[in-house]
Amino acid sequence: MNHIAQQRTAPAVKPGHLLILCCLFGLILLTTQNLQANIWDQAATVATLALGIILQALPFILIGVLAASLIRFAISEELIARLHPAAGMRAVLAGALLGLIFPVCDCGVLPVARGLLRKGVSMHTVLAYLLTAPVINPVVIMATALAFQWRWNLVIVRLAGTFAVGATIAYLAGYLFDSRDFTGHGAHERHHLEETADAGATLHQIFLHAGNEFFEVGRYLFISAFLAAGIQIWAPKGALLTVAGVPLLAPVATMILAIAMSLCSEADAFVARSLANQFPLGSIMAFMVIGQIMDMRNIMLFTRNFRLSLFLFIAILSLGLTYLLSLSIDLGWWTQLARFSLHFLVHPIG
Amino acid sequence: MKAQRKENLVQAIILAGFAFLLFNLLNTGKIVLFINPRLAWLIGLASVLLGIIAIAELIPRHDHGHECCDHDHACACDHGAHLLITGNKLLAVLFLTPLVLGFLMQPKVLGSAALTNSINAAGPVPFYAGPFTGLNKNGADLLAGIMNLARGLGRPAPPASGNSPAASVPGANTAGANTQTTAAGTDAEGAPEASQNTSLVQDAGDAGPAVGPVEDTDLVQLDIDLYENQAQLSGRRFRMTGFVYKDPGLGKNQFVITRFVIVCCLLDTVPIGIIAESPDASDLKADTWVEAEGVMKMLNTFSAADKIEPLSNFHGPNTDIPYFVITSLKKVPVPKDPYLYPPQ
Repeated sequence: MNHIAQQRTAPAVKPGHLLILCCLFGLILLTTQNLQANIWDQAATVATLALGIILQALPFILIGVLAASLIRFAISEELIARLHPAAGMRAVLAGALLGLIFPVCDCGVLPVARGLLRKGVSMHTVLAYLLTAPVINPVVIMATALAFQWRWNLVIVRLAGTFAVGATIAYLAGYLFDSRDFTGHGAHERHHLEETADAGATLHQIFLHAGNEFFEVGRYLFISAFLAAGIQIWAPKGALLTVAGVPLLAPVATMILAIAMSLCSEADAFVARSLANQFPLGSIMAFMVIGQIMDMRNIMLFTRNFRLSLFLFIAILSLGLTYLLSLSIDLGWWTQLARFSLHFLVHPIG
Repeated sequence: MKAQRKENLVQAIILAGFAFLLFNLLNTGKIVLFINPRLAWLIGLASVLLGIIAIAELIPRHDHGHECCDHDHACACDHGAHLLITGNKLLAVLFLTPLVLGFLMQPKVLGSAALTNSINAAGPVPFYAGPFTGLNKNGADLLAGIMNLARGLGRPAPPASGNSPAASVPGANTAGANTQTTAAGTDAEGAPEASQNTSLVQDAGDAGPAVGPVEDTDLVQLDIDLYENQAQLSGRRFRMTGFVYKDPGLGKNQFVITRFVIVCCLLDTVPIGIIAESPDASDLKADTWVEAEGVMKMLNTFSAADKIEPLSNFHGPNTDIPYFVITSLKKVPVPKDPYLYPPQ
């Protein structure tokens, strides 16, 4: 069994290294600020902000880990095999719509996705779910609508944007990568499944497993909460905001902001609204799309769970596609893009 | 096996700690310092779920023949290290930190520290030069863009708001036609904004410009109204409570009377504020809470006399921003419920 453990840890980026990097980054930030300004005031604000983030995310994480646990113990593989399309565009669509049934935020989505993958759901569906469910779910749809005062047009643009980026990545990655690139488990998982099926599911097991998942995912939430709070208070953002009038740079600025701020998907629309004072529509959309696919929390979770190649594939493609999407909205290419995507949905390649 | 029991026990203690922390915050009402009370039920739910999982961790397992956790290899539960907490001191510290902070630290009420580097104060359009709704100015571009998108898709553009569709939609269309190619911020036309049912303007007709003492103003509503019905509100008396934010771009006799609006949780708070002028301003320290009474004016920041550096970069020559001339000012303690909430 040792080689399995090795196979699993070797290719992944070590989260510890990432943590050290982040701490260094934080230290540099700290020292460049003028320290004579009431540092304790700021530190207390950071701690309060971080607690606020944790408190807000806790319910959603708990719902996520419980859903993941239920999938693991209460849903049989046969049922899933019967229900879901094997691969291709249909599987991607199914994954993207799954968020409407399992509403979780971007912190709770990974355990559910992992649980689905373990049950033999295809990479197409799982990746589409992982990348789009934080946005395409009832809670976030309502929050976005509320933030933009029930202007449903804007909500639709956000959903479509997230779907376009997430589905494209899932479609391509589904062919290029397999489930071993996700958790690195593959064969071992299968062997284990038969074992638990015999044991039978008890409520006790479901909660125990949820508890373990909570500690597994929670640590990334906690680290990212403190990081995001620190960035909120200490990182100067003036330079990023000055490029709002430059069409090619504006989305870059909002994307950097989205990644650095690592907002929860229920909350980011409200921040996007205050950015809407200064940035054009495409950049606001870029903020809301990339923030739920690539933020600091997801970078930590993905590097821990994905093989490096899959992580880089998702990272590069999501950044590129979001930028393209944003420019296409601002420069008016979006009609062509929409036509192309519709065509692709109807006649997928392959 | 013993190690596993210990692990479960530690996990249970941490989970129970969190459950109790959440319960305690709800019970003492301190929860309003962290999230919008409208979402407090979620915290209650989380507290219950944490408690249940903690109890599950405490119940000993009997059928360990089948438990994945008895194997000495990495189990399919997918937790890299099996003894997650007891095997990793750093992780234990990570989980204990929010607990300790939550129980021992008096939560800090957000103030100037949360504004200095924020997207709301550091950018070319500081928060006190725009309405809370964030959909004026470039917001008109934003809305116009969406309207165009909708038109392009062949969908009829739905009303901007359920409250007053008649008032907002035509405005939206003209804004759409005008702002399509204009540069950011130079369009002085008011953005289409749904006027709220509770609008302060509606009672302005009856009361007229009040002279005597006035009620404490709903700052959120005022902020929205100020950018929609400038003419009606100019010259009226108001009383408002907020903390002092001193922007580097402002003069010695000026400060921003500020409140944070919690939309969802602390990280997404949006500041609202109005530039205030008072001879006592230079004596006020940042983050002092004040109750101020005075007259609302509209300040043309473009004219040389009133020039306010950060604003004149952004605002066009015809743009007025609200400016509060304080007649009486007193310091007040930090309110128990320091945050405001957006209108439903």
